[in-house]
Formats: sequence, C-alpha cells, structure tokens
Amino acid sequence: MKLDFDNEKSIYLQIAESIEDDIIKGNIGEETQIPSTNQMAVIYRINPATAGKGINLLVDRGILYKKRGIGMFVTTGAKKIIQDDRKNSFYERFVKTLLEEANNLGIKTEELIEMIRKGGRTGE
Amino acid sequence: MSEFILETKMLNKSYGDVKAVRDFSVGLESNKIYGLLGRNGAGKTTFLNIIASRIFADSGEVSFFGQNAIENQEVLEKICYMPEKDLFIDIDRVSRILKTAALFYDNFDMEYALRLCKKFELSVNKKYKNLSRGYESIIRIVVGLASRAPLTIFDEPVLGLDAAVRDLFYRELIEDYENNPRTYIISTHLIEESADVFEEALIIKDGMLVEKLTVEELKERARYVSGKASAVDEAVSGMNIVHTEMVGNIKICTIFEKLTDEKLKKFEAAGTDVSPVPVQKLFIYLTEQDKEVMI
Repeated sequence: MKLDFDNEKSIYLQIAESIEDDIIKGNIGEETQIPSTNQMAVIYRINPATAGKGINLLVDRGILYKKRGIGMFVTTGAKKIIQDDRKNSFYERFVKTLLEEANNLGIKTEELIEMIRKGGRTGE
Repeated sequence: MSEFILETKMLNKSYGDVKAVRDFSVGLESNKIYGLLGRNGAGKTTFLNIIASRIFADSGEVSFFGQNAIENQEVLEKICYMPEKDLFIDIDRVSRILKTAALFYDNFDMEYALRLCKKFELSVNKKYKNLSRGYESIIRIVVGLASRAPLTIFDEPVLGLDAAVRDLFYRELIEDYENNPRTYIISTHLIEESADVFEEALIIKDGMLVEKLTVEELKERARYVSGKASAVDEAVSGMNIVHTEMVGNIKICTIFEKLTDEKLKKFEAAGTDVSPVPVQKLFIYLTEQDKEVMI
C-alpha cells in the first residue's frame, strides 16, 4: 500500500492505482478482501467520498466486487484485466516520454535499444 | 422541506464603508465536509457569525432545513459553532465547559469528549484562561467533535497547533464523521494539508463566494501552461487565466476552467508545457488582487 500521495494528481485515481499496483505485484491476491473505504479515509486523512470514488472506479472495471455486509473483494481475473489495460496504455504512459527525452538528449535509436537490453528484462 | 441543510440567500453585511459579506448565496447539502477558504479579511468569519446567529446580516436570508435560522432556538441547538475566539468563560475549568456544552447540544457525547481530552492531552481541571493558544484550539475541537451537532462549524480549528496535533485532528474528524455523519464547515488557510479532507471547497474573496466546487474539480481545472510567450498566448487565448508570470523569456500562465481534450490538444499543438498546479498555489491565485507578477 502506498503511504503518501503526490499532491498534484487526483487522489481517487491514486487510490485506484495503488490498489491496482498491489494486485499486479501480488500483494493483494484475487478473492481477498481489501481495506474498507472508511479505513482508507482514516489512514490517508482523506474524505471518505474520495476513497469511495477510487474504489468504485475499480468496481466499474470488474477488478473489485462487493460482498454484501462483508466488504470489497478482488475479483478472479483482476490481475489480467489490469495487465491488459496497462499494456494498452504502456506506449502513451512510458514509451512516448522515453522517446521524447531520448530526442532531447540526442540519444540514437540503437543506443536506446542497447540501454534497454542492458537494463536486464525480468519479464522474459 | 429544503434539499439543503443550510441555505443562504443574498446575505450582505457592512462595517462602515467595508462590505464584509456581499450577495452571499449558497446551499449546503447534508453530511458533507465543506472547506471555507479565503484570505485574511475575506469575510469568512463574518459569514460564519451570520449563519450561527452571532451577528445579524444587513439583508438576506439564512435557512436551516427550510426553516428560518436567525435567532431560532430550535435551529440553534442543531448548530455547533466553534469560533476562533471569544467563546468560553475565562474562569471556567475545562470540565465545566464540557458540562455546559452537554446541556446545550442534544447529541453531545461526554464519554467521547473525555476520550478526546486524553488523546489531545488536555487536562479537564485546567482553567480556560490558563490554556495556551494551542489548547484553546484543542478545547474547541473537543467540544465541536463531541457536540455531534447536525451542522458543526469550525473557524480556523488548527490555529496554534503543531503538525502532529493537526494530523490527529484530521484523523479524529474523519473517523467520527464516518461513524456519525453530519455537515461540517471548516474555515482554514492551511489548504495544502486539509484540502483532501474536504468534499467541497467554498472559496470566498472580498466577501463574495467566488467558487463552490469539489476539491477534485478544483484540482482538475487548474493547469500551468508554460513556454515561449507567443506560444503560451496562442494556447491560452480566450481561456480563464488566473495568474501570469514571466521568468526571462518563459511565460507561465495558470488557467482555471474545465479542460476538454480539445483544449489540451491546443496546448500541445502550440508547443507549450502543461503541468498541474498545487492546491495552495491555486488558492493564492484565485484570491489574489494582482494578476500580473514579474520576476
């Protein structure tokens, strides 16, 4: 769980992202319960409506579901949903800025590819 | 029955030539935490004093659940107002202040009040006049939270408190709000640390309500647009510019309005950089007098 938020981005998006991060990294398993909106509001000192908005975002995307009277749980397949979504936005979020900065610095394509190789991928 | 817990219509209040509150109309919904934000002298305290019937407006209306709220005892018992100063009797001990509050507010929870005193390390045997500035704030926090009044109003509740105690206040506020939902109005100028506690922000300037927005909207609407002056001018033309700065050849405009994809594309097409604005900065821009600053 993230313990601090950056001040410039919408808190509810950061709440949602932080839960997503925990799901992808396996810190929160599928079919396990996540902290309640109220607990999150108190931990982060944020308005409960904001915490609720972040959680609802994940409910709408099929990542969380509500067990009546118990709380919020991670759906089976949540990790896959998040990975697929993030792959789709990977270019916009990371590759584009990477290329921009590489251009600013005059780094050539071959150099860039070499750097990525050197970085040691763990996903393969 | 009104949909609002509190509604004001065209409130006006002058002191001599100074208009402290001007044409102030607002409707507040039940069970939300509102932040009342304004610079010193913007009229926050005057507005709060009027809605709590501590002073009279020159003109305008205040209603509470649709009922006239001015000097209406039945209504006043449902409003707990903790002003910044002049509230308690000097020679009273803390324990006495709590007992008096318990008589006045129907929902007052004495057990909770005593628990809060322990948490905030406020001795119930101390006389009010012997409390330091910080503890004067703390007793207000204790009474306000424990009042459980449907409308609880704090004017500058964290004045004179160190960071740890301010943090404890925000924590207690949120926790109690969840267990006992009610409407809060909290005025403050420490915006950066409190903004996320509020559901909506009321921004007041020169006695007028200039913005009433959710804190999320407030953040989403503000952007710095920077770059070469000509490019920035082109990108922001026709938009609501709340602040402009020149740093050498670089112009930084702060815009404040609903941002559509179309507008964001316009910024990109002009070759300008766009970045978010910290809340405290935005607040300064929205409430300052001079729009042009040269460095």
